[in-house]
Amino acid sequence: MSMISPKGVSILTRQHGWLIASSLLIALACNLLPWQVNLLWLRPDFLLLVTLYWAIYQPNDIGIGSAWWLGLAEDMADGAHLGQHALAYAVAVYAITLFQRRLYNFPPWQQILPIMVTLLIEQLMTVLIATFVGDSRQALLYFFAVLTGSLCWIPIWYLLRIQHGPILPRQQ
Amino acid sequence: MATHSHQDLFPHGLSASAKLLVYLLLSIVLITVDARFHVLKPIRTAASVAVFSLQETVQKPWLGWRKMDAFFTQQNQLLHDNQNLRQQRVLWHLSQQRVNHLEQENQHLRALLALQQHHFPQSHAAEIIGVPRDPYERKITIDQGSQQGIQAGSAVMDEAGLIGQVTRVYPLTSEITLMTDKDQSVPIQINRTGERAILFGDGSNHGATLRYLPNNTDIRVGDLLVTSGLDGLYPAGLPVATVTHVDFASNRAFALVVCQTLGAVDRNRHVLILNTAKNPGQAH
Repeated sequence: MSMISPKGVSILTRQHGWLIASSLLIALACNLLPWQVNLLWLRPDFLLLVTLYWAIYQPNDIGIGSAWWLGLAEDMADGAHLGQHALAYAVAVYAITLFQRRLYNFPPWQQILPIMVTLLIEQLMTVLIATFVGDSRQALLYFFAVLTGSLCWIPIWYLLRIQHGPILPRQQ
Repeated sequence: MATHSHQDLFPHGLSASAKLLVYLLLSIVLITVDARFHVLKPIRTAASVAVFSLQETVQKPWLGWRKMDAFFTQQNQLLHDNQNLRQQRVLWHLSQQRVNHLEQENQHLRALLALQQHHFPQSHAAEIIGVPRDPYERKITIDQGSQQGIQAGSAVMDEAGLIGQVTRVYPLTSEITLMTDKDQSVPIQINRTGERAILFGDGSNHGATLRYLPNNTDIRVGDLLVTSGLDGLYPAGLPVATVTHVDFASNRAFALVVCQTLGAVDRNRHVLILNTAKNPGQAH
């Protein structure tokens, strides 16, 4: 594990910089959509899902550092404690980085399980930090967002996949 | 091996673990600074303006659709609503006249007794534009800020009762902490007996508890709780909650009184902000 580096295989597309930036912005906007208050606990974290997607397929552009900044943007949008989601996002992308080379070659349905575990890690980190700062008590409902998030993975995968074209198999 | 511009035998820069460690430390510093020292307000203010514009862009189509939907509402529904509203208006008109009369009388009596006059503060109507993703964060964002004259500390209510307090004011938006937040407390009095107590939020959607009431308190299920006005923040007499459960168990030092708040943000999108300003000259 000591050889792990943030760099790995990545798809080679032109203009992917714009695609990455705009998809992340749209994902953040989706997080800001108005929701029914009593359905709030079902709301998946679109920004995290899109970040994880790019961490798998474009690890040269989206790594732990950019994930941290995106998490900070989510904190500001949410009115949460600054650094709460930032840390959780960085840890989630770190978990993805460990298995990036394998996930890169998986079909989306096979990625669901690792993605679910990653979402769970992120949610745990967020709840843990909130508890440290003295915020939450009833935290169990939070974890439903992990399920809804995993369900959203395949639609998001296909949406982004259509945008940047076919993925080249990893060159040996 | 094919030439691959992104792959090196020995990658440059920090390893992922080292990077994680750096960002871990950075986050801990940031969380501590934000939670303990509250020095990041300018950054939050700048971010809130950016987030507000994004939020507005996102919500525009949705609000537009709602307007369309409202436009095509059925005629008989409108007629029905109209009739109801007319009846209600007549009733309210009657009670308004009574209130006017009582207010005059009250002012007169207070003047006779040389007591300080009560003024009902100015109010702004505002719309809820955001609820945080975190369902246990009992906070909401509204579309008015310091530019519209909102002040931190003002009371916020809807048509049924008190819902919370303005806690952060940004140029275009402000953040309201709901009364049900577990760190919020409201000084109230039991409307029937006039006894004063403090209502604490319990972090759920409608729940709140009255703490530190002795076991011999005269309180029943169904009692209305109103603000006492003793804190100087909430004007006196706003309806706050009704008592739903009372338990005088002798094994506890105090009675267990569970209440349900009257105002609710999950019912409608509009709230009223009472400008309980610090300087009384501006309040009226």
